[in-house]
Amino acid sequence: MKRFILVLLFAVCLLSMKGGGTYPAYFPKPLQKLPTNKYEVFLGRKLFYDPILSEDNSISCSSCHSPYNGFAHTDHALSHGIYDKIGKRNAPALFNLAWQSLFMWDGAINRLDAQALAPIHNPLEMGSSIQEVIKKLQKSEKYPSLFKLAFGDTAINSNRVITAIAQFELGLVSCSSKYDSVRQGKVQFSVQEKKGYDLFKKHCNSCHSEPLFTSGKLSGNALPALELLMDLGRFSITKLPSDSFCFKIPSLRNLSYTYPYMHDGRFSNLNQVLQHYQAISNSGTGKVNTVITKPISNEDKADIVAFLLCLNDRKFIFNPQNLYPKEEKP
Amino acid sequence: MRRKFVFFLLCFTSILKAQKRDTLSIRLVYNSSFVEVGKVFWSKELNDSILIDKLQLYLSLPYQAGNAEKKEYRLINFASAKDCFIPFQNLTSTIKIDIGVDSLTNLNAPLINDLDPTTGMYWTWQNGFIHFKIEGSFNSGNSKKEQFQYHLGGYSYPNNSVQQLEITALSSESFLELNLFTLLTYIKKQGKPDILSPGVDAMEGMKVVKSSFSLKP
Repeated sequence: MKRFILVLLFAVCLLSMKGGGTYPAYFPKPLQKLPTNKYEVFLGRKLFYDPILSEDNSISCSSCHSPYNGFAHTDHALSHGIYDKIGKRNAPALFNLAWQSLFMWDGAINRLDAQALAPIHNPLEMGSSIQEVIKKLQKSEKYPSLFKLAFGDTAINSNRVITAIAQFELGLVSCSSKYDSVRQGKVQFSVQEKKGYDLFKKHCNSCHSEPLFTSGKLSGNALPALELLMDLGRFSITKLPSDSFCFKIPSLRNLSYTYPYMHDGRFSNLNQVLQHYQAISNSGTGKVNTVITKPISNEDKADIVAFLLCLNDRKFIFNPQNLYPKEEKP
Repeated sequence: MRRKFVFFLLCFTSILKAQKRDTLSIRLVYNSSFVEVGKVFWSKELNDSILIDKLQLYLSLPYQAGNAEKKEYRLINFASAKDCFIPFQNLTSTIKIDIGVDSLTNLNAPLINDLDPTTGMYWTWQNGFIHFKIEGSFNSGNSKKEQFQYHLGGYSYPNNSVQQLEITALSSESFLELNLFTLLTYIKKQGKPDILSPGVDAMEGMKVVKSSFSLKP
């Protein structure tokens, strides 16, 4: 009996270390279910990396959402699509999407399964249509059998295409950084990292809240609009003046891989980002939709960067389950 | 034995009857005349000939006031007049019909069947259904055509433009009539040829759409 209780206690402890078996217990409950059908996930992964989604078969999701960059875009400040057409934003990183309710920099999309339709139809991105994509998939040799594995029959329709892509994306969970190891009691921060963490909690946590390092909400951050782009952010969706120049707060995980920063990729390194926040905080003018009002010194900046580097998750970046699928079946 | 058989037969037919769905057809008119999509018609009030190229909208299946949780939707496309109906079942007294797809459905419903995003009634750039789409032209009798395209949508604050029709005394002879007179007069007077995104204009437009519906006879 004693042995049984011990075994039971051990099992409970193990389970409590990882919520649901795929994310830490200190993560909040995801807003969407994490994927369970490996065939759907594999199909989504195939589609994600396949330029068949674009009009000229040259651009895939991974063209802008590179796996080695936290599924962000690092070639350029502004992402580009077919025929080198330049968009007006930098493609955001894709991970921990199950904990988000709004997608795109302006929160235009509020359900992940519908998100893939936006770039497919955008003339500056993939320049195609879901109808065209379906026709191409139906004609291909490999996809009907993959749809059969995932959904039970070879029928290919828009719902299945976008569901599969979303299932792959929901499986992109990043939770193995040094910060996570510290949270799990496995390692400790260095002195500088600890200082940086304390400063982070003082200056940054209200928008970039732990443990996801984003509140998932939209906010302004006193970034002056670039005249050439005049990107009004959330205002273009709601037309509410209070939403002018508000953008989705990105997660600060994997920053070493996801440069450049901000919705238009204007900052190529973290120093420039912190310089911007330092300038707002030290100007005494307070904020535009932010809560940064306390001064940041140069020493503070270095410490904060040291902490931010603890949020890099190399295990996620190089996870072979997320990379280009060389295999034909899962 | 025979009595049992008759009893079961009666039960079976009454179950069948209870499950039988009626349909509510929707007719497109301009005042007292039928309108056909793709065919020019004359408006003496506007002193103009009008062509409707496209007219589609979402209507919910009729539901009762306390039972608004799981709505079903039907895409009505007036280019195919025989498909312009919505089924209903076992309804009495006051019922509601939504014009447009509500926020719960926009956020959660599988994108299949009438909610398939390939129908041309889905905004991919900002996920959400177009509640009501009308495209056409005022031909003005001149060489210049005044084209218009009104894609009216929006389901979330502050641009929720879904409208509700409240209907009493629905019978098997009832049908819904969509009279384009008010809407086309509104479009002509607006001087705005396009409404293509959610906002104040779309909300006003949807109110005009709502006022264009009536239950007949």
